[in-house]
Amino acid sequence: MSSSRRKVLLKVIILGDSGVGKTSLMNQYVNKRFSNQYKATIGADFLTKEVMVDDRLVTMQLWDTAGQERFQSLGVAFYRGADCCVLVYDVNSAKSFETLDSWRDEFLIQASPRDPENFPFVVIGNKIDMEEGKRMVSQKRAMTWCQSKGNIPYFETSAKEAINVEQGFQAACKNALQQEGEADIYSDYPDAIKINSHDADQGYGCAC
Amino acid sequence: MHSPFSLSTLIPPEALGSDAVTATLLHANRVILGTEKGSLLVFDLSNASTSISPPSATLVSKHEGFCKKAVDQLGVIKELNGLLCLSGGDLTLHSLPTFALLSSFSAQSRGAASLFALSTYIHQPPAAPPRRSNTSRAAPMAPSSPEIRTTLALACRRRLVLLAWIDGAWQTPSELALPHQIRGMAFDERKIVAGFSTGEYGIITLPAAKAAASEAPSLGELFTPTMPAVEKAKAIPAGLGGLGNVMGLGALGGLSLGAKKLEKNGVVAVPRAGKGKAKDDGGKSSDGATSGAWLWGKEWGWEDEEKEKETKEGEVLVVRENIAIPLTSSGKPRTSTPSSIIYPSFTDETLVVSPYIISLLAAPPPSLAPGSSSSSTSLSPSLAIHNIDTLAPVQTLAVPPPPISPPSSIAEGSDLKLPDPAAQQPFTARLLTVASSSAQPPLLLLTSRPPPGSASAAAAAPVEQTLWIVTMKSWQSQIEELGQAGAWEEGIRLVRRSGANGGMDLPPPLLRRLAVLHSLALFTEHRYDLAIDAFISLDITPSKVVSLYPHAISGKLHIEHAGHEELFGGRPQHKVAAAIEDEIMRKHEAEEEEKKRIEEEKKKAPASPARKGKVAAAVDDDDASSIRSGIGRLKGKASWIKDSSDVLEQIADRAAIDAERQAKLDAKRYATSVDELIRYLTDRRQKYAQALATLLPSARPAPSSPRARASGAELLELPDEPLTNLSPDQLARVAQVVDTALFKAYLATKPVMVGPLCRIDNWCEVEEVEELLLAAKKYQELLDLYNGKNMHEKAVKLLRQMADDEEDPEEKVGPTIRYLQKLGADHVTVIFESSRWVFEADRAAALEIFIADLEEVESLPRHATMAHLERIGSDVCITYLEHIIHTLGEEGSEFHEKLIELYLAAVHRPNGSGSDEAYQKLLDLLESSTSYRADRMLGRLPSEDMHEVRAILLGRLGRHEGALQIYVYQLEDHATAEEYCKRVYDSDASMRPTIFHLLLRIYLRPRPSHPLLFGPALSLISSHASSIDAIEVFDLLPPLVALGDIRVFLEKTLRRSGERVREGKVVRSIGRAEVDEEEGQLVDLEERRVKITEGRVCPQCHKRLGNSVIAIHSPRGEVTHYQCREKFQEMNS
Ligand SMILES: Nc1nc2c(ncn2[C@@H]2O[C@H](COP(=O)(O)OP(=O)(O)OP(=O)(O)O)[C@@H](O)[C@H]2O)c(=O)[nH]1
Ligand SMILES: [Mg+2]
Repeated sequence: MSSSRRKVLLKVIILGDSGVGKTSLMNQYVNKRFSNQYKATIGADFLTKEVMVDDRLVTMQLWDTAGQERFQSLGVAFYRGADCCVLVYDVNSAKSFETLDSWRDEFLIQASPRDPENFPFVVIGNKIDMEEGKRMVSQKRAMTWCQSKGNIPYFETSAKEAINVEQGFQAACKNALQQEGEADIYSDYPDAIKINSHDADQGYGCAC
Repeated sequence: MHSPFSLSTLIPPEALGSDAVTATLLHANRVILGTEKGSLLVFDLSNASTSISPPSATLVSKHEGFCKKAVDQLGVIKELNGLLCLSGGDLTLHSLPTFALLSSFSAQSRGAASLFALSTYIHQPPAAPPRRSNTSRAAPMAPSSPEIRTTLALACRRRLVLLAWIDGAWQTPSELALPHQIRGMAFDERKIVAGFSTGEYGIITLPAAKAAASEAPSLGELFTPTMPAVEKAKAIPAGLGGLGNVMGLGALGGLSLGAKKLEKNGVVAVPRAGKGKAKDDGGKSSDGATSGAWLWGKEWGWEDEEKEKETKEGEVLVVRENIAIPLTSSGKPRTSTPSSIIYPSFTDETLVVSPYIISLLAAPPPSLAPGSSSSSTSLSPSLAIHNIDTLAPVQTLAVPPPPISPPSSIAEGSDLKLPDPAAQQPFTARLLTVASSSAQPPLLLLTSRPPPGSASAAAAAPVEQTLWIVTMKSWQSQIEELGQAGAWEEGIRLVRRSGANGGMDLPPPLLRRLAVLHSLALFTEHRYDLAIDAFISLDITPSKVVSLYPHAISGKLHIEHAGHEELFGGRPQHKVAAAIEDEIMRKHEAEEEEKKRIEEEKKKAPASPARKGKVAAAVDDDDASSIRSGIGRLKGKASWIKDSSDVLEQIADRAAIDAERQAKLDAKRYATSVDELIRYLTDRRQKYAQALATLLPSARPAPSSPRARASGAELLELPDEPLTNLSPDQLARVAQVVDTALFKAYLATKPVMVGPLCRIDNWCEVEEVEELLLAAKKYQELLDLYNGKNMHEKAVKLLRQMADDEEDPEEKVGPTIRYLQKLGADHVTVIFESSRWVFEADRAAALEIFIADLEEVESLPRHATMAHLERIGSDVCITYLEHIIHTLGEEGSEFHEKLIELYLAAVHRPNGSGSDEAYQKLLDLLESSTSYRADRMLGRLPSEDMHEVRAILLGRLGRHEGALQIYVYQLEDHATAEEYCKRVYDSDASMRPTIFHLLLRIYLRPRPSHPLLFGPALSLISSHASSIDAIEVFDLLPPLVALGDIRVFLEKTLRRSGERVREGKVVRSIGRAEVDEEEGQLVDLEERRVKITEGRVCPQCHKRLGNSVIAIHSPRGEVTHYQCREKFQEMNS
């Protein structure tokens, strides 16, 4: 296909409870870095990453969001126009898994995708590197949930050990591409809001 | 159409005198008139722009002989504060208040000047920082002015003289040769559009502001605007149709454009709309709606015009004969239609007061008047006012006004002799041109001159002149007038085009009101995205926005279409409704007429194909209705084979197709509008959430707390303000409106989204949506909704209804059970209440409501649950209690006792098949549990039976004898009895010496009726010999016992006593040894040595010890005289 040389931009939103490792996953994926230190994300921020998918150059715009409620006050307007949503939980916290439902619901309401039933989600169970005894959510339980929500692809990752992170985001990217009508993908995208977010160590600004 | 202008007398004939006025000027509330004899009359104008009292003018001064000849034109250069006077072919400049001559330009004009035009503009060097200047001289322009540039173009026969001032400083004039004489000209920035005597036009381009001096003005190629004669000929009747209320006929033949010289070829300046400033100011005010920025922004739907404006040069208006054509300053006519105005008669003068074109029309020639039904006024001159954008007619004023109801302004000067209309005395309005300092003020002057008396011969007699003032209503009242006719948008467009600083000068409340109306107009025009953006930026309360949607979405907020305008600050509903009705009536009438005509045509339609063609042709010609014209075109091709009835059929088909297309379009629009609504509502969701978050937690309303229902009208009263300004209660209402509407919008267009909305925190008004959910069979969603709102009674009721329709027994109760399991302790009454029917339906499954391994289930209050379950049935209560006691480790005695009671009851139940099992469980519990009061239980026991139970209970009470008696007498279970004793021996030290003895006594000293239990007694003493005191055994043993029987016992006892003796000895020896050792150690410890030196003193008597006997004191080893030792000990003890 001749148009495959054209640039594609995908907007991917990462959601989940505070501390499940959203920022860490994104940093691992984009910058191949991990820090043990926790710094709550305030508002939202994005990093971009270019990937080749089936010999198309795709720019992924990864939006990291605040899990803590008090930092979400900046609004969730950026949900709109999302191409894929990555739901993250911590396999060592049952609560972080149980809230996936409402993250998903809230996302659907705020993003109002055209085809909500088939909107591409990806679920990531993070922090599998922690000792087995701490694990609170079994793979089976997670998979059952994913199946009940329309066969959402499921990945178990460790941002710390860089396990499966690449695969998770790759799936997000592919699903988004598959889902979006070609026409939409190739239409011109407005320039993304520019914030100096390309250095993950810098303070996160609000982009709303 | 509205009537923005009105005409009233300003200066009566007496004050004007008979010297014919030939030029007028209005500047700074001064009316300056130049006369034929060269005099100047100066009047002071008051109340020119107020509507409170009529404008009036008083004579200030009169300068006779100001010029030698008639004054042709007057003008003002504001920054010079100078008056320009064109008279006798020369131009002079006078200082203003005094009229002293400043300079004469006769050197340039050389007595040939016929006309001048002025342009003043501010040149802003691009790099110059913007700064505010206090000078008010350039009032109509932006006040900050690095440079004021004035250019004066003076037409002198076939020359154009250009005079210029920069900041009032005189510049070297330049000159341009012309092919013909100029009859009219107007500036548009750096260009002059000139109309020549030949009827041609030319564009003169002036050098750019900073151009080198060498660059001279140049004249472009001459042209004739593309207003071909054909159009003219055709356009007049067509124009008449379009003009509507313009009376008279304008079919003036002999419009020749030959070589004949034209006396008039007017070019009128069109001021540019002043929106640049609007944009600058927009940023300063936080409220875009009241600053007027909305009048220009692309986001307010103006982009088309905006684009046009950006690229377009300014316009001028060329006026000739009875035609006015707007031209760009490069000479192009408009592409839109109409591109010109055709007046019914010749125009004498035209000028533009944005957004209006005002033309003074000459009285139509009398030859045309007869036969026309129009009144006599059509024979007098008139003012025709058109809109400059649309060129549509706005108003026509007869000059002078018909005196039927003299305006109040004339009433005071009623001595003024108004000509009797019956006299049919023709008026000539001679002057209109207001050479006012700019075309901005909403005021112009006009004189009309009736010849005196009735004698037509007395033409040379002194004229009777009246100066009239044409005042324009305030924008506000014009807008209101238009609005009342439903034309708010037109009003807004007027404001945009008006000289009123692009609307900036309107009061903020009005601006805001218009903005709101404009947002509604955007919505009505199906520009939903823009409308929604506008609603957001205007903070329209969401209930109003929602009310614009059909009932399925707006529900109780729904408002009839006719009522929308009122809601958005426009006309009241009944008025709009009446207007709509009128419209429909009119349409209907037109249709009826149309039908009749077709019928008639059909009747007339003959059978011959030749004539059929004619019918078709007739239809073809008719363009009264678009449908018909469409048909007609079709018919043109197929007419030969079609019968005329086919025509009708086709019309019907067409109509059907049209209707279908319309329906499709409507559906698409509806979908778009709902999509936009969803966007709006999700945006509002965020906003109200943020607003709620800023409230103190104590004041913050919660979505689940019950709230009285508000009527639609109440909700529509919510203020149009940013959500953060609302009170908590209002905020909650807004949230309800938003979420309820969002819910309905989803249900209407994206039903799958209803689920997510119901599950997350939401403010949906349940009453508004539950019916809809039920109707859509979205039970799960409704349950989620109920659940989120803590409306569990409703939820379980629904669950029960759902169960009625369910066949699968598991599924019948499953959903309810799962629902109840999640409720937790706060909703225990609901749980109990609805568990009842579940128990009836499926006892075993229902128990799961209370014993499932779930946090919420475990948290249920156990007392209440127990009581509830007991009412349901003892079996379930038993299962429950067993669960909490055995699985959850409940220690409470009430539960244990209740379970014991229930077991007891179960054991006693007649034909109880499970009674054995219950009995065993009872015993197990009694033995294992420590959480019951044995005495109580004992009291509950039936007097007979259940010896084991009784025994256990007695044992618990420490009544071991009783217990043992039961084992021995009632149960005759010696093994158990022995076991019992062992247990007590092990567990209770105080009972150790006596417990076996107790049993032995029962065996050997039985109750009177019982035989001696020698065997068990012997076996007891032999197996527990060590735990039983031998002396007492011998006491109990009957006097005669076979030695063999007690041999084992005796052996054991003897061995044990021997053992004890030896053990005692060993212990004693060890003790002795220990004592010895201790004593030895003590001696060692007490051995002390002291050193008595020469000087050592007794601490008691303070004398030297010397060789005296001494005493050493423990434990510190003080040394005293021996005789002092007692005293010392006393003192230190
Ligand atoms: N062991 C382990 N720790 C992790 C992993 N991923 C993240 N963490 C740690 O978890 C903590 C939280 O990680 P973040 O990525 O900041 O969490 P977040 O989801 O962005 O949290 P918010 O910004 O508050 O929403 C940090 O201390 C991380 O170091 C992982 O895979 N394994
Ligand atoms: Mg984070």
